[in-house]
Amino acid sequence: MRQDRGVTENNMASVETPGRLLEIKDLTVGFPTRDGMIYGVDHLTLNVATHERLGVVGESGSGKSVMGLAILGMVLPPGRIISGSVLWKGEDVLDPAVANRVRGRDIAMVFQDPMVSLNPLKSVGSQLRELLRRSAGLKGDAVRARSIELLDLVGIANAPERLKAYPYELSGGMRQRVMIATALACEPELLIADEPTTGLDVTIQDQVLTLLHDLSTDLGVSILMITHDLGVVAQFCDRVQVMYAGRVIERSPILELFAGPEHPYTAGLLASVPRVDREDAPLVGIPGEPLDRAQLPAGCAFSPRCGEVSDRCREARPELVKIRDRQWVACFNREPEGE
Amino acid sequence: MTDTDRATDTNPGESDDLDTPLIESKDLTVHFTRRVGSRRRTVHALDDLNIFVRPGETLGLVGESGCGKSTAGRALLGAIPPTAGKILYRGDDVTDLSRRRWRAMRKHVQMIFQDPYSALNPKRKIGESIAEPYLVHTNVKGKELDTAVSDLLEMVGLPRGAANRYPHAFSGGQRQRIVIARALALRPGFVVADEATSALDVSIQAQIVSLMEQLQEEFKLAYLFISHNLAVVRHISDRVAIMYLGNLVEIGTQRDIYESPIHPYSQALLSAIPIPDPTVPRMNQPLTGDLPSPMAPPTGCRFNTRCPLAVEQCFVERPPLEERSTGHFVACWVN
Repeated sequence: MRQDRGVTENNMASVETPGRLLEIKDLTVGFPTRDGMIYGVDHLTLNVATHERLGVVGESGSGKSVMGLAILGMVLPPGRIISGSVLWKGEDVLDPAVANRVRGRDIAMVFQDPMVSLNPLKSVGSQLRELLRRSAGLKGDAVRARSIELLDLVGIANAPERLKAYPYELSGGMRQRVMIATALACEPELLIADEPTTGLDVTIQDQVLTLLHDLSTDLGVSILMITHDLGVVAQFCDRVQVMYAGRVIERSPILELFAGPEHPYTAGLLASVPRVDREDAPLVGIPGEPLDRAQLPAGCAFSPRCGEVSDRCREARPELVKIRDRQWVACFNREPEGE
Repeated sequence: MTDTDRATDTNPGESDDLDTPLIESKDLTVHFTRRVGSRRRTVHALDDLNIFVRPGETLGLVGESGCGKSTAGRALLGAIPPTAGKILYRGDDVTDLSRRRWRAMRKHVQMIFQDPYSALNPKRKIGESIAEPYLVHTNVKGKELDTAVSDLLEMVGLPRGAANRYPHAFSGGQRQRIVIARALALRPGFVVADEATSALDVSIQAQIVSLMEQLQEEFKLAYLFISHNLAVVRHISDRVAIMYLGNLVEIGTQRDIYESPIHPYSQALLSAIPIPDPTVPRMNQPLTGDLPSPMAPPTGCRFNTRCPLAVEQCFVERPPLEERSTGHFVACWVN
């Protein structure tokens, strides 16, 4: 199915864990600052299965975007990977040689602001052309045909005409569709979408989410959706992982998470979101301020804002433990008895 | 406190007749001229807006980018001169006030912006920023001024001693609290909040919304709460107005708009919002197409290029705003 790819030997050699595409183990990414090392992600674990839509939610500074960059080997100095591994079908993507082969082909990324990710000086057609020639190895007429096919796929009407357009001539929603088209150019198996609809108007966000949803269903692309919007997670993802201060604090299938959040932070987050579909109780919010990453408390990072905090929380960091089938939480107050 | 009282004695909050609008716009129109290449084009930012806000109530103003909601807020505060139409404050025409008289008006009407980072001068202690309204409009100074500033800080939930710190020492949520403290220094009756919580994380947004509600209660404030976030607007508003491309398409009580929206755009907008509950099914009828340019708005109903229900009349004549039930107005030929 991917006969157009140059390198296949290494792919053949890779050990494929069945159903498991991406596996992050114990990943720590550090950024040295004047105030000492700041850990963008801190002992992170994550798995993405085939045909899965996994959400990663968190507020600003939770490390969710750093995680996305680390998967693609795009953490720039002075930031560096301190420990851990990112396995793509068993191969370590942290190895630059592997990353260069995988990035853009097996794993593609869609960013928040397509105006930044698209080249403003090149037409849509020439950007797609370059990509299809270099990464997908297409030649001649096949390039144009595939370009048009891709624009059709992402719902851009009048594709042959649109190939001539420059990014500035397109609306925000249209640019995001072009961005998605470039991401899909090499038929990736995993799409990392970092806040793909943030900044778009809601009616346009709806179009883009519907598009991504259809693509994941029709093409079988797994999607790692990084977002701050719990509405997007609820309506789009199968499973979700909540991050706070660079760590995963809860991981759960979507229905379970919204029906009964386990971690006090997740519960607080859900109570903070106003609802458009009903008259809600007063918004609770979470007391305190977002974390200053340079001054992490010794114990649980959420302990200064937590209503259930105990001495133990201030002294030690809770590990992510399994409390039920497919449900994990990092909180001393939720650990199963006797363990 | 006596001096703070003196500063506000021209703003009787308690004895208001709650049905008389505090602020009102009549056919308010704002057009900008923009140069595109060698041509001059007119941007129809706002056309014939008729809204009012009663004392102590919150009117939510929603719509997507370019719908004119921010222009409306600014024009109401005299920050943008209207092309046509009138602004009434407590029944008095304030449209053509001189700069000096607008300055006096600012004791009564204030604004909170989206970005608390650019709203505060990074080189001034926050106490100086908060004190500024007193220095401009009142004779409060010295110890009294310090006390007034500390009182304001306490009112918005910050430590009384925070006045000597600089903006960089505060988080986004705390800066928005500082901006609110400054806006409320002279006890205005009307505050325009333009995307005041949009840049904040949800857990902090909830804090700021609660603070704004609590201050409204305490000071009988009226808000024009401008936002693209329909969920926050539902939460905070008594009445809600929906705009599209410079036109008001629907206005009514919060319940009218959210429980039984009539305009096809209102319906589409509401169904487009992802609900943070996986058991609520997605509506999944996305509105097709993009917003037309406000430099060349469609004739007739401005929504006609995207409306699933549009008929011939919609392309010819702009639908007037008509009252469908008490206080619920809709501009649509079809629905």
